Amino acid sequence: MSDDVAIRFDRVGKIYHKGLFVPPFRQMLGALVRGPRKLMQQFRAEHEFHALQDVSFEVRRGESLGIIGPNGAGKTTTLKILAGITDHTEGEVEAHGRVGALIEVGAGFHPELTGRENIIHYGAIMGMTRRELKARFDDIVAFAEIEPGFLDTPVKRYSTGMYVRLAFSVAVHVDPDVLLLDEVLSVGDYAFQAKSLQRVKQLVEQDNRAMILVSHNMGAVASFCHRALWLENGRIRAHGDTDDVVRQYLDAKDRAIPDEAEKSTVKGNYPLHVRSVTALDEHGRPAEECAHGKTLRFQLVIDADKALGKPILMLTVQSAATGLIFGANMFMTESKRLPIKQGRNILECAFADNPLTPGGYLVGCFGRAEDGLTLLSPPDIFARFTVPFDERAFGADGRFAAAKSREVGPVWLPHEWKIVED
Amino acid sequence: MRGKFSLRKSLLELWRRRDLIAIMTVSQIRARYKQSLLGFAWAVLQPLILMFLFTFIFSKMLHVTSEGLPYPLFSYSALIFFSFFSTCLTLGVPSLVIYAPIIRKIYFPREIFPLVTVLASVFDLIFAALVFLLLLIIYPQAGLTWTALWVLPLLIIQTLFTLGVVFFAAAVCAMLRDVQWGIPLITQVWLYCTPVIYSLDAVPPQYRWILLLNPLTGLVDGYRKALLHNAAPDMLYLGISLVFSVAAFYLGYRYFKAKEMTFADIL
Repeated sequence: MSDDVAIRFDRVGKIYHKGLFVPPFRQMLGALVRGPRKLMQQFRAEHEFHALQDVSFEVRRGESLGIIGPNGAGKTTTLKILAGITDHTEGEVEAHGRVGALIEVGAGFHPELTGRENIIHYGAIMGMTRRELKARFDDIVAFAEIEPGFLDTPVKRYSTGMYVRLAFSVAVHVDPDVLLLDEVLSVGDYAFQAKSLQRVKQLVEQDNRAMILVSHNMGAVASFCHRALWLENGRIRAHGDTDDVVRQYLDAKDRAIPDEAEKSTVKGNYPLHVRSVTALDEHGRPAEECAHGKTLRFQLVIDADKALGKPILMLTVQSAATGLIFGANMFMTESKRLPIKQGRNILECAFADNPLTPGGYLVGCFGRAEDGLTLLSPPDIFARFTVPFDERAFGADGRFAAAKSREVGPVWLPHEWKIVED
Repeated sequence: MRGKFSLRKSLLELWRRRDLIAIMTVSQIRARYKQSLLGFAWAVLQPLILMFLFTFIFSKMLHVTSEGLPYPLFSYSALIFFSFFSTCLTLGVPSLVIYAPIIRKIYFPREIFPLVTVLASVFDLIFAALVFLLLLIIYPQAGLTWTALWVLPLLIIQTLFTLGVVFFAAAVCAMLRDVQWGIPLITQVWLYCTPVIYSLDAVPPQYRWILLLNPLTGLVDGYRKALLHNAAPDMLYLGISLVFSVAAFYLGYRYFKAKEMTFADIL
């Protein structure tokens, strides 16, 4: 075992007792007859279940692991064991250094206290000393973008965005050796999300911290986890390279069509259901590969519970290495917004000249109502495709000699070099 | 799967978290009196009202003896310390239940919750003690001398005992909420089992040892000797209280730490 290991799970299991903690009174009376030991054994067996079973993995410093899986898979339990909130019942757990866990944004905030008081209070709860808090106070306020006037206002008067920004800001300034994030990067507005991601990325890559991110957002996992772990029913389904695991997970999700209906009720009642997004080749056939420089087309199959007028659909293209690359937002082209009728809608979105360099990409999709705010369907990843490296087509001008090593980034744009002065 | 209980390690961990404890204590004191009409007066009202009540019932009506001192002074000198104990129980025992949302989401040593309620209650005690000084002016029969300093070691012993009881009861309360509803009854019974209303001297000698099993008995008697009689506490009584208090603290704390990791699951 290397010194670099920050987190180690070795065949970890956890048994929870669901429901009642003690037998009901009637059963206890029965115990007088049959003996209490037998009753407790029976009671335990009936009410226990494995939240985690035989889970092993390691996370090194400077590395981030994404944990994905459906609700109730044991993702949050894993984080809680690492954070010391709850105990495992089987196996060995190691976590080296200070663990900073953000299981829920704002837990630990006191609504009656002011922003200033809460920074101190919450920071101390998260493990900072008074001296550290003093030193980092201004950074925390600046990062959270709290206007000075609000610092002395009770946080119960804050907007949700402000509240969440402040909580997140304190958490990332704890400067933990091991950072645990549970579904928290989807907080705040888009600009703040981007900033948070940047900050977390910096913690991992520059400051050599270890991180575990639990998320339903495949885009977030793909964009900055080095490896991924897929949990289901407390067991590991897949573990390894993020791209592979995310693809396997999405494939399995595609196959489990009945889950789709369940998913929308779990996540809230959205009227719009994106059933599938399929990449098409230049001839309009479903394809897993989309050539650079050719038309990039996607077919969307969408079910609507009711006619939705002309909503704003958003299609995003992202990559595991760099995150969101570009999107097609109907809002930008208002006159071209398309009506969505009740029942099945099949649409197509095409980009004239595929600028993507060779590699693997993910396609996300979601919709907003005409007001531009209300979410009609939750953002999610629906497809992946690759841009193949094709020497015949691109070898001539050597465009991708460098792209292959990911030095030019995910997008190649036409450009020209020249000498201005000898 | 935590290792065995180590008092030294647990206390060291608390010492490392002293900033958190201080910050939480201050904000709890503030929160306790924010948005309340009488504010800090509440800290004084409970022992003061009981003093009037007891004086009327036990002194005026039942003629209970009070070690040759005015009964208000006699009862109040014990009531402020007993109120400290009962406040700690009332607020400390349900503290884990109240802070369940945090316990399920963030880790830090869980004993900090009951500990902070006890520390914040010291603040109430100080206010109640100020009123005692007023009583001393009203009743010149007693006056403070250097023996009053005995209050400090006595208070430390009482705090140890209180912590032991609160740790134990808070951990049980996390599993069985019944405990919370039993607290008012328990404090009431405890009040009558402690020489607050009556004097330990008035108890027939053959029954005295039963009362001394209650560590608060020796302490209350000690407070009165130090504050009203200008004498040192009875060393035998104090010794019994000390041994029981240390034992209660150790066992209560140990029980709490053994149950600590289950709180997030059962709350």
